[in-house]
Amino acid sequence: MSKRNLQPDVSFRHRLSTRMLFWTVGVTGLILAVVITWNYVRVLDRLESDAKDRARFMAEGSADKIDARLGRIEGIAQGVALVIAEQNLMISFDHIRRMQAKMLRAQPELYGMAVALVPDLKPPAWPIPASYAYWSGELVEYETFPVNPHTYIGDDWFAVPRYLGKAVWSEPYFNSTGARMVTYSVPIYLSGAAGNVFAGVVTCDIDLGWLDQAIAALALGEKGYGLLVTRSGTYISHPIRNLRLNESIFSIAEARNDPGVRRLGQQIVSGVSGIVPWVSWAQEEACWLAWQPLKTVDWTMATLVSKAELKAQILRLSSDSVLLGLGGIAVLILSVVWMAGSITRPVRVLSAAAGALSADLDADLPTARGKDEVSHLTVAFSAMRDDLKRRIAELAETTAARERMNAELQVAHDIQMDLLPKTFPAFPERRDMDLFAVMEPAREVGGDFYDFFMLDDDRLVIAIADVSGKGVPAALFMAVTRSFLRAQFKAESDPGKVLMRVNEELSEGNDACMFVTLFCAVIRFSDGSVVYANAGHNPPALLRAGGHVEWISTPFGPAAGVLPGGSYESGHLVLSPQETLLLYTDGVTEAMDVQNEVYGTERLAVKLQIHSGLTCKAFLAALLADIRSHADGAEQSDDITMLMFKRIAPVPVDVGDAAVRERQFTILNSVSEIPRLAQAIDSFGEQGALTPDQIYQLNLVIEEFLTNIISYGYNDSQPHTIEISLRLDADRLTVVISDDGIAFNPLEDAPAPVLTGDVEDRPIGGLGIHLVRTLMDKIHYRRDGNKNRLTMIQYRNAESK
Amino acid sequence: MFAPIIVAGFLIFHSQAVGAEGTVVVHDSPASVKMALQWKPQGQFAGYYMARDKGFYEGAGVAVTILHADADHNSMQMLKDGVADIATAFLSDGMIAYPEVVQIAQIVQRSNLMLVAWKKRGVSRPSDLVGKQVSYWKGAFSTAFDAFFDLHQIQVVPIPQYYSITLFLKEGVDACAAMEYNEFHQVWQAGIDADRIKTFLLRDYGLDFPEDGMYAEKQWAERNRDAAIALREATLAGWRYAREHPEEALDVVLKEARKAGVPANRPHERWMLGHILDSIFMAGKPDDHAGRLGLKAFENTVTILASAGFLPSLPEFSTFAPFQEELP
Repeated sequence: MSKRNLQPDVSFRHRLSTRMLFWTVGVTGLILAVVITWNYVRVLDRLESDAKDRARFMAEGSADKIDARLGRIEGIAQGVALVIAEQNLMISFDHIRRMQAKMLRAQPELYGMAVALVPDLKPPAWPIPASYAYWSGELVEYETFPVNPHTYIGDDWFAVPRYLGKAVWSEPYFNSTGARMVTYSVPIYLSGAAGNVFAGVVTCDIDLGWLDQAIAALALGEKGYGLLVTRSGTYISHPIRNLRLNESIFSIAEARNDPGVRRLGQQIVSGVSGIVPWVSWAQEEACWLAWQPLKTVDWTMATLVSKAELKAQILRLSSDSVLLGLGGIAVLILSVVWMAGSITRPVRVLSAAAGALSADLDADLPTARGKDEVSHLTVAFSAMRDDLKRRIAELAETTAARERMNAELQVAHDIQMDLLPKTFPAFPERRDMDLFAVMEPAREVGGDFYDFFMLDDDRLVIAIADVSGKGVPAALFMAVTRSFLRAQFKAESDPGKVLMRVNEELSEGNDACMFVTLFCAVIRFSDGSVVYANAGHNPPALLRAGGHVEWISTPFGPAAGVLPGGSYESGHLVLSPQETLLLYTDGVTEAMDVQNEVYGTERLAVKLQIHSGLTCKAFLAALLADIRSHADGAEQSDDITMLMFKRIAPVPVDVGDAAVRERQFTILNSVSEIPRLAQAIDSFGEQGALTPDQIYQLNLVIEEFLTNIISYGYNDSQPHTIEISLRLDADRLTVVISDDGIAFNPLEDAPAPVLTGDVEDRPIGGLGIHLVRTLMDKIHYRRDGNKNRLTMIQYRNAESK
Repeated sequence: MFAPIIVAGFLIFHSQAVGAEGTVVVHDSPASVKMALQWKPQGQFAGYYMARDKGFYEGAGVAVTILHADADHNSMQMLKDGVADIATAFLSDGMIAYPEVVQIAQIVQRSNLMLVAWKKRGVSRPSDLVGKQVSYWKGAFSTAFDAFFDLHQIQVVPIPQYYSITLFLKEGVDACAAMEYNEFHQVWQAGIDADRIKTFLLRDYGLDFPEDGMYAEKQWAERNRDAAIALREATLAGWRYAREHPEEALDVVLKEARKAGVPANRPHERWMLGHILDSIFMAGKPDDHAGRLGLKAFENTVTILASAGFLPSLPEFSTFAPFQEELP
């Protein structure tokens, strides 16, 4: 494991710190956004109504202020007019001028003051019928009226109050210096016999410049402004200088061809206050437009307060909040990163150390600091590491013990196996029997055993046993039983008596209360008689020559080793040639598959019948394979032990020249069978007095065909039998090979021989048939049912050919 | 401000006098001419400004300086005082000034006089004006209004009207005099809708007296006959230019108004210019009738002025308008 793998890189997305950052910053940001937005909307709402209030309030307030100022002017003019009227014009011209000068000085905002009489009413002492005093710089000066003093009677300031019969404020006007002026005129009435007579006017002129400053000073915001209009809608004060006195609301309406503006103007000059949403001309801003008529003069004060400007203020305020919030989030990010680092750093160190731990338990773990979860985790890791080390040490110890025990068991297994005769053919010199046995312990050592031995030249003892329990105790008990069995057969040849004695021996001192089931039989070759006894063992199977299976179930005695004093009856039967005995333990019939279905005696019987032609070894191999296939991977629960015996009819040993020698062999489709067959063929040849060359050739031919059949003749993995029949007549040698493989005519289907190159490298089939044609005189192939039958003849002398 | 103008006028007059004394040949082309327009700068005078600014006067060989009359300075008086060489004035004023003064051109061909009355004061017919306070201009103007009242055999309470209609707007009178191109529109621009007032346009009642004309002292005119005709034609060219380029003309008018400190706004001046142009270039009359005084209009005016006692001497057409070719 590389170092890199010990400390795997956690992708940025999956990092703990990333998640912490995402959640804290995300949630905080969200909250911040919601708060700022909510605040913005709420304040915007409130400020819009504030704007409305402010517009109205400002209009009212400034109207009042202007009124207050104009009111003072009105008072002065009225006072002077009253004095003159009271004096009935009996007042000197100089007095008038002194009074004017005094008034101008007392009231600096007064620009000028006129006392103008109807020319016909001029007191004789007055040089001219009017006196006009005005500020010229720091000095009060007096107007000397131009050539025709009568002209003023047509001026609004004189004519309008005269014909209106009351004091009036003139329309504002530009004076000769370009200043906007307005004049307040109070008529002077003299009371006479014919009622009041209009004698002239007293006027006060004021410069309107202060209005602009006063209105500009109103707190209406950057985009807001105030304006003052006359009764005719003419602008007296307006932020756009050019509009002043030149334009009226109505001229603008006309220029814009906007009847809505004209209607608004009519509302504004109507003398009633009001407020409307409006888009200002000066700034093109959405505004509240409020207006308030003045009380002194028939003008209207109007104010525009921008809605958007307030919005802009709020936006500025909100953007400040956003900036502040972003700053806060930045600080938060830093602190979260720092905090996440302080948490994940020890975790990462621990993680790396844990990775190293898997390779090296003695690797250093970080020292636990503080009392937080990570330090607890570190401590837990440390404890786990220590536990692990202890467990591993224990495990190593246990494993060593088990290995030692396994080694001993292996030895025990070897010893047990050594007890069983395992060399087959057990009696190679005997041609009158076929014997084979297998034992497959479920564990290293088993409680089963089989045994066979010659009692004398004509008698064979076969036995099979199954000790209760398994493992070493059963193995020991089995060894003891076998010793007893062998020992008893030295003294006694009747199986019933032998079992009785073995039972006695085993029962003695059997504190472990173990027992054994045991079947044994003595077979006499000369007549095929069999004597047997059974101590609680599975009934062996007997395959009759006709293919019929019998179960040897009687006589049947109790298992040995349990109760002393038991008696066992011997049974008798006769085994004809080609008949077979199969001894087995319950590991065979009770072998279970994964569904716990046992193999059973019926299946065993069927197998026996199917494979009647097989040798004992081949049959047991086939049976074992079938049991395995039944188990289908299920664990073997019991020892499987089988012993099979087949009686073979004795073959005449010597025949004359004319005699016909004939042998039949059956082998499994396995190349391992060939050497055994070769031995038999050798034996056949020698007995038939064939020369070694002839025997060799015969072997070569048969082996050639068998190899071919075994290698290519089957398309399944089931065991099959191949029958080889040899017949030696006086004039010929006949070989018949019969198999149930796929149809194959070697005479036609084999490839052409390749005669060049090294023999070893040539393909078998083609060359084989070439060789066979060379050696044999006649070859005949026939498909006989599901069998291939190949017949080969070799004539023994030239005449025969 | 007036002093230099007076001095300049005197000097010109003086030089001309010297010329007259020193040579037998009259001056056909004075170096420069001062023209007094009869009121403060407004659209009523757009043609004169354009004639000056577009070089029509210059093209006629005359350098024209435009002066403006006002409440204190009457244009005819300026002519008599020698402040101006040429003055514009209503036909009636021109006739009153005859024979010292002669006409050079008749610019405005028809009457624009009217009466405007408050409907709410019960005025919907001329006869409704009986006993109402009606303000109207005195002097020559009044003859037309008096004729209107005579025509309808009504007596009103006359109130002198001067330079504004403030009294009317403040509802100090029931009706007032107005020029269709000026005061009538001022009423509208004071926010008073048409349905609140009743108007009587005098020309609709047969009282159609021509208005603005160009005048000069008889002696000046005799001396500068060619220049006078050239000035008339150049002035008409100025008006034609204003007719073709009204917005440019309005720019000039507004500039003049600003310069003189006279409140003015474009819509009002546009209204005024439009109506004046309609009065100069009369619909249905050949273009070359512009600038000429019709004999019938002349006679009508003489008749009514004479009957009102305004004319000390009855003018004769050929001597009153010596540069007037006979019109078909």
